[in-house]
This record gives sequence, C-alpha cells and structure tokens, in this order.
Amino acid sequence: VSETEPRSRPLVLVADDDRDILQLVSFRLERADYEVVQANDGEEALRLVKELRPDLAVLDLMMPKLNGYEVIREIRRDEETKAIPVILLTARVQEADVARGFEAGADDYLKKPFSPQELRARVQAILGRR
Amino acid sequence: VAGPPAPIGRIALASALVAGLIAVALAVTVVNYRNAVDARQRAADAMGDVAAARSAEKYLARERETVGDAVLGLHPFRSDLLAPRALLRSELSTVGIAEPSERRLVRAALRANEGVNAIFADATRLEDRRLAAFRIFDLRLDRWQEGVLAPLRLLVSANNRELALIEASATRSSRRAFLFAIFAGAIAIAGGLGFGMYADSLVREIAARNKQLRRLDRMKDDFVSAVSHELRTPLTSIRGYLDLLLDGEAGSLTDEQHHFLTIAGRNADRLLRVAGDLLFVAQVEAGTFSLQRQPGELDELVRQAVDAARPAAAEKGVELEAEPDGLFEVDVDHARLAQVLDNLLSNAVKFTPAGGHVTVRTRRRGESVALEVVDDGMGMSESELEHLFQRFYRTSGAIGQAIQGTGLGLTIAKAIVEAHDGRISVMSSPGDGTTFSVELPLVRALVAA
Repeated sequence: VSETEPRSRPLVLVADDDRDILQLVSFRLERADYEVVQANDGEEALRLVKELRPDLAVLDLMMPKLNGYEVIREIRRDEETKAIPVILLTARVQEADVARGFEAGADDYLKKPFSPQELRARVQAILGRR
Repeated sequence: VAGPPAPIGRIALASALVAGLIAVALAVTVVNYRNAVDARQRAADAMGDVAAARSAEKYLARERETVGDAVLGLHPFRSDLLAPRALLRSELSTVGIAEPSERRLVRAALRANEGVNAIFADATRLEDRRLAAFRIFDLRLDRWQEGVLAPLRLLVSANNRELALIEASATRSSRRAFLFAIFAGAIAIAGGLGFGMYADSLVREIAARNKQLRRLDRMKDDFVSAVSHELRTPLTSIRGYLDLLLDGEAGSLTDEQHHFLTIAGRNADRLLRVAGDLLFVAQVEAGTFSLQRQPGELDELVRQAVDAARPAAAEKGVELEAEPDGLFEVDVDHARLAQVLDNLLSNAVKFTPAGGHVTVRTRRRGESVALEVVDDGMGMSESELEHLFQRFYRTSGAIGQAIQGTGLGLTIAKAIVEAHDGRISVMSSPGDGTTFSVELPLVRALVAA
C-alpha cells in the first residue's frame, strides 16, 4: 500500500495491543469492503498514519508506548495528518474517559463490546461524511 | 473508621481535668482572699484598741498633771477627778473601743477611784487634806500604775503583737491568694494551649486519615475500573468471535451448533452486564456518577421499558401491561431511568410464575409522580424486605429457584432514583405478589389525572 497510489477501497488503520480484537475488527472491516492495515501499539499506529495517510484510524484507548489520546494529539498536531478522522475504541465506560477522548480530537468512539453492525455503521457514517 | 470515640473520650477527660484544677485553684484563691479580708478587718479592730489605749494613757497623763497641781496648791482640786469613770467612759466611747478592752479599763479605773474616795472622805482639815492629797497622789499613782497603766501597756503590747500576727496572716493569705490566682491562670493557659495543640493534632490526624481514605477510595475506584476493563477486553473477543461463528463466517452451522453458540453468547453478555453493574456500583460509591437530565414524558419511558421486557415475559407466559394514568413530565436521565425500569420489570417477570400478571402504573401523588411495578408473583417476607436494597442481597426465593442475578439490580435502582431526588419503596408478602413504587419529582402533569 502506498500513499500515492489511488485507492479503490478506503484504507482504515486499526490499532489495538490485543491481537484477538485487532484481528476481529480487521476481519469485520475487510468483510465490509475496507482495506485494513494493522498496528500493535500507539507508536506503530502513529508511524503508519504518517506513512500511509489512511482514510480513517480506529485506535484502542489503552495501548503501550503511546495511548490513544496521545496518538490522536500527535495526529492532530501534524498538518499532513490532522484531517484524518479517528474513532476511539474503549473498554472504559466512564463518561470522563469519553469526554477526554473528544477533547483530544476523536471524531467518534466505540465501546467494547460492540456489535459488527455498530462498527460498520460508525465507520460508514464517518467515511460517508467525507 | 472506629476511631472517633477514643479521641473524644480523651478530650473530655483532659477538659474535665483542666477544669477541675482551675476550679480547685480558684477555690483556694477565694478562701485565701476571704481570710486576708477578715485579717485586715481584725487588724483594723486591733488598731482601734491600740488607739483607745493610747488615748487612755494620754488621759492618765493629764490626770497626773491635775493631781500634781492640786497637791502643790496651784489648782483647785476638781471634783470630777473623784469620778473619772464617766470621763473615762466618754473618752473610751469617742474612740469606739472594743468591748473586752473597755471592760478591763473601766474596771481598773473604778478600783483606783474607790480607794481615793475613801481616803478623801476622812480628811477634814486642810493639813489633813494636803496629807490626804499626797496620799491620794501616791495611792492614785500606784493604783493607776498597777490598775490602769500596766494593763493598758499590756493591752497595747498584746494588741501590737496581735496586730503583727494578724498582719502576717493577712499577708500570707493574700500572698497565697495571689499565688493560686497565678496558678489557676497558668493552668488555664497551659490547659488551653494543651487543648489547642491536642485539637490541632487531632484535626491533622483526621485530615490525614481522610486523605488516606480518599486515596484508598481512589485506589478502589481505579481497581474496579481496571477489573472492568480487563473483563471487558477478553469478553469483547469472546462475544466478537462467537458472532463471527453465528454469522456463518467460518462455514454454515448445524442447528445444534447454533443453539450452543447462542447459549455461550448469552452468558458472555451476562458476564458483561455483571462487570458493568460492578463498575456502576463502584461509581455510585465513589460519587463519580452523574446524571444527564432531560425533560421527558414518563409514559414514553414506561412504554419503551415495557416493550423491551415483552419478549422475556412472553417467553415465561407472564402477562405484561402498562396502565398509565395521565401524562407526566419529568426531568430525568433517560438512560438511567430506563435502567431502573428494566431492573424492576425483569425482576417482576423473573419472580412471577407462568400465568401471572405484571402491571406498570403511573399516578400523581402530590408534587410527585408515582410509578408502580405490581406483580402477583411469589412475594417476600418482611425480614427479606429489610435487606432488599443491600448490595449482593438475594432472597431465599431467588436462591431456591436458581433465578439468575447478582443482587446489584435494586442497589443500582435505588442509587439512581435517589440521585433524582426520588424515593423507591416496596410492599410485599409471601405468596401475595410484590409492588415496587418509585416516586419522582413532577415537573408538571400534562393531562390531569
């Protein structure tokens, strides 16, 4: 995958340190006809966002090296990447966590556990908006 | 925290001790002050005696002069000298002499004069008179010496001694009063300082304990939040992969495989609910849960909850009805109130046997609106009702009939209702059904009941 090549399908970056969830989300998104690239931690996620400029990033909140908030902040700081929409994946359900996610610049959030329909609907809502 | 009684006891004891010491010191001060005042009064009296004695001495000196004049023929012999008693008395009364001293003086004076009068009565001739005068002079001198002057001197010296003693005692008493007053003051100051320092240390200790409690509370909060997260992540995978299988992503399933996977999925959901309930209870206890209020119609919320509970009721053969009695506007957190209604309705359905009825009613009750969930199920005993809203409490019926639940639903319902300034109550008796009643503040009644 390269940033210069025109894409036939939207590219979604999925980052989660839990491999099972990473593969589950990836599988569901691929089934929904998105191209998916995976990252295992925050640092890798940020590197891939800068390299590939995906159409959307789905980031887990609690990740090693850089957490979800920090990755969003870095993405928003860079002129090249600041327009890339971000969905936060979180197992934390306290309102303060959600509010903090939006403050950091998230476009939407998805609570774990989520149904495949919910995941698809939220991703479509954001990519359709563009 | 079982701490407070001990420090309070210590404070009470210390206060009583200090108060007692101050009281004793003040009492000693007052007694000594009184002694000093009495001594001063006695000293004043004694000084009066001394003054009287001095004036008596002066009188005697004058008398001797007169007698001497008479003897030398320079002065006519005064008849009033024959009765010095009255003079002496008037002399004494002018100085307000004390009674015992007066009697002593008067008696002495009288004794002296009796002899004089007898000698003078016998002397008829001038020569005799002159002789008599000398004799009288001698006699009077002697008599005055021994009868008046000596006792007077004794009296003066006794008075002086007494005066010195009284002075000394008064001085001692007033010094003691002064010392004890200072002592009382010092105890009061020391007690006050000690009390202040103790109170200060106690306040610090309580503050430190509170800080520790807050820290522990935060730790518990973080712990529950972490546990909830740790449960949620694997459950997300379990639920997700079960869904993949159920969706046929790994090939088509037999009916039995589908049934088994559905059961696994239902139990994963149950675990997720438990994790969510635990987190919610922890948030309520930490005071970190807040309401997002929005005005709305209670009737609409009831209808949604009843619709959600319908499949479970139908599956169990329980008839479920809503009987709204007017439209009521309430200002509530819709999601939270829905949680309360779901809890109450699922309980009612769970504890009502097939063929039974569950009814939801709303009605106005003064400035509130009452929402009732009535069932004709198994009911509960009075002793069970007492514990019903406690965390993890499960009734004997729930345990005996293996009805699923964590014992958190009603705890959560109560917390939510009370956060809305409402009240939740229950009426029930064994075999006679149960009625849960939720009272919420009414914004207004849209249609009169």
